[in-house]
Amino acid sequence: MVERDGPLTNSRSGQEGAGQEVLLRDMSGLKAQLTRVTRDAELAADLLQDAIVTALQKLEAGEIEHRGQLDGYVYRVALNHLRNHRRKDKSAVSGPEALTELVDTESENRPARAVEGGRWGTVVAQLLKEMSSPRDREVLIRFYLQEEDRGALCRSLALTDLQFNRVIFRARGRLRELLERRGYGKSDFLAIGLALFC
Amino acid sequence: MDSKQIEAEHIVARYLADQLSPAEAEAFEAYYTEHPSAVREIEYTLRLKEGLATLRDRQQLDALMKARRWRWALPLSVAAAVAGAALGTWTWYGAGSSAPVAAGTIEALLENGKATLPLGGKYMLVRVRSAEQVPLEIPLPAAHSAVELQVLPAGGAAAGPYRLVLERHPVEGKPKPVAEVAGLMPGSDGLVAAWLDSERIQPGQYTVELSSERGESAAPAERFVIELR
Repeated sequence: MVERDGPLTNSRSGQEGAGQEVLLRDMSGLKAQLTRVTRDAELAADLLQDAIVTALQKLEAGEIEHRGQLDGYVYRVALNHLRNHRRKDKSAVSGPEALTELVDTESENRPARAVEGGRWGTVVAQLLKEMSSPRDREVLIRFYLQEEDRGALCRSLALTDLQFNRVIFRARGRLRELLERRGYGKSDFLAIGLALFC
Repeated sequence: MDSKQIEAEHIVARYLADQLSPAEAEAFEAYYTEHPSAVREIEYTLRLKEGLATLRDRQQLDALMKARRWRWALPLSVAAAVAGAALGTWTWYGAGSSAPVAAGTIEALLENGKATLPLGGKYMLVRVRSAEQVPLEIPLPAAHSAVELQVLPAGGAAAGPYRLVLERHPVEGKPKPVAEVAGLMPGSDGLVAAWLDSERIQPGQYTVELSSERGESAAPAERFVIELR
């Protein structure tokens, strides 16, 4: 494991300009969501790789000032791919029948993300069990999974903004603890070593 | 865009849900490409979404929704309540009871053991161009309930958090502070809200002062006069 806070680059060959390794953070959450949205693990991997290559090209061209910003550029490009696929899916869904078909197709591809999703499912299940009320659990599910608008959600549950914020901040704080306790936090910022300037 | 705004407006979740305007999304992208901590929040949110989706796939969400709270979760909730108090603390200038006259949430008005308090009315305090400040008349509900006061602060979210001070003006004598609610942040509609307990507050004339906890330089204090009847 390589701590993300450590040096971002290491000379690979010892020769100036011959090649460098760039370490990026663990992006498995990003990859899992790309897989879920595209319903194709290979396509998701390709999209993520495209995002990494694009960011590296920007770095090489001097468009990225610091190597510490590389992660952000990768997420930016990859999340744009994710958004485009979501929009394409939404425009393709014309009625309830198509929606059912979409959900069914998604279920068939479950093994592709079973391992990563499985461990986070366990963490999130623990988080939900610890939450103080069914209403708080409902807030979390409707906001993050069903992606309901915050204002509409508050109105439907008769929640003030302060109450809503409290539920979300508590849940996020606890999730962070659970992830870090299981080693999915600070310590897994390792990951991809890539050659640059070859 | 800054970290405070990102947290207060749930920018990460809304960005991932494609709910931001193009300008907001662009501003957030510019922010997170320069701030690795924001990228980490994105990654955590993606894991949360993936975990929830996995539970839905396994058809475990319904059971978890109905699950009873873990026994050891009680101390956690107490700790969370203490932490939550930092978001909206209150001070009651009275004695003899655990519940305040005013608070930043309806929940904070509840005494031990009481489950709910109905909303008896909602009033928005607005500035008017007038030489004489006419009190806003607010009828106190007959039944025990909460009365919501809303103010649109000129300083907006940037000048938050805000402090609301309620002072009673007796017919004779000096004004007397009755309640103070701190740590108030504007909601998504830009309004700062506080709730009064209809049974604990006496009828009469009051001033409501909303000031930025960052001081007058952040935003001038705003005062309103209300008449509780």
